[in-house]
Amino acid sequence: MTSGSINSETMLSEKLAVQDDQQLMLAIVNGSKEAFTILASRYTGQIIKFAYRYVGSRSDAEDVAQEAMIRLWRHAASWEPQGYSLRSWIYRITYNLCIDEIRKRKPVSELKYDNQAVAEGQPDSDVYQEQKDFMLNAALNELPERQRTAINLCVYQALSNQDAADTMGVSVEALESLLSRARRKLRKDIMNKS
Amino acid sequence: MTAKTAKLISPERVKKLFECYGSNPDAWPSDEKVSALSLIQHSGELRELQLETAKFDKILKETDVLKDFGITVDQGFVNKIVEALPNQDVKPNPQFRNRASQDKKSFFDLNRSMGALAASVAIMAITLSIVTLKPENAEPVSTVATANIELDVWMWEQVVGESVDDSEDPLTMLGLLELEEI
Repeated sequence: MTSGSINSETMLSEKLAVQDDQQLMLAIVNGSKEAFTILASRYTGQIIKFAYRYVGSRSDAEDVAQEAMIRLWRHAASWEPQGYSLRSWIYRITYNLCIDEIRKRKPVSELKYDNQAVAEGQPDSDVYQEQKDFMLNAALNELPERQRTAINLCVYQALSNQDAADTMGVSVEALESLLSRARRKLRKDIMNKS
Repeated sequence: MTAKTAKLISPERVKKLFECYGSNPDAWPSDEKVSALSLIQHSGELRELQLETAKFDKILKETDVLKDFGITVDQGFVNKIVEALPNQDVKPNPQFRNRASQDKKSFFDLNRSMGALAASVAIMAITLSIVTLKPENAEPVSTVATANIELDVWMWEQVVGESVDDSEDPLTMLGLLELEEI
């Protein structure tokens, strides 16, 4: 390989790295694996974290993320910039895969609070914080799946309301209804439990 | 995506924003943010409500079970995905590349029972019009053969919105309208 070709490859990589999602997708539609690598580096971490909330283990979440990115590659030509944002498209693929996965097996259910931590003599403040965390996460797990997903997308994944609505395949009004019901229930459950 | 125009909202809507999205203006719809902030600035009640909402937001964020979950991705994992990439699908019919516009189905979409019913009614109407409107001195032509061809052409034009090239089979092209669900 000549230094000239190495330089032009480096320049292409640098050029791709600063391109926005739309530009990268246009390159991916034309078969650019380099553009795909950059896009995957941008999004894979987020969707692993998102998938983890449904499948409960890092390795399973990585499997879901890998499948989501492969589907994005295969169906790249179906995406149009005037339609859904790329972000919501990726999340939608991931969300559908997560739902399929949890339907195949027993869902990740209640967190079990480990009394061992108390027995091992943790400082009281740490134990108190753990109990609070446990209460909220138990309350989150008790939400209906659609409400929990709305909270996951808007609060923890920080998607815009439009992207979250597109991910779930609902209107923004429907998303707002899910969010307000979820937040109301969480507040009530946390107050009851505490 | 085009930027939304800022819109004026009511104090009730501000309360709804707190209820749905929390106290952080960055989480609110972008076109309502300016109006909401202005209303909050001039209302003690809204300011108090925002502070109250912020306390709950803090609990929600801080007790995120994955807040320390690393989101830096091992490049080796990404490379593994790239190595496993299959062939890409061929580009679908450009008329239906937009998933948003895909939802606007034609009334005569044969995938729906109502669409099939509408198509049946259309077939009958066309056949009837050909039979009743045929000029007396016109050459006798098989109405069934004519109706089929005319229906294909007409349906193609309705569904796809473009004229049929005589060299292409409309029914084959109609088959391309079914996109693979992801």
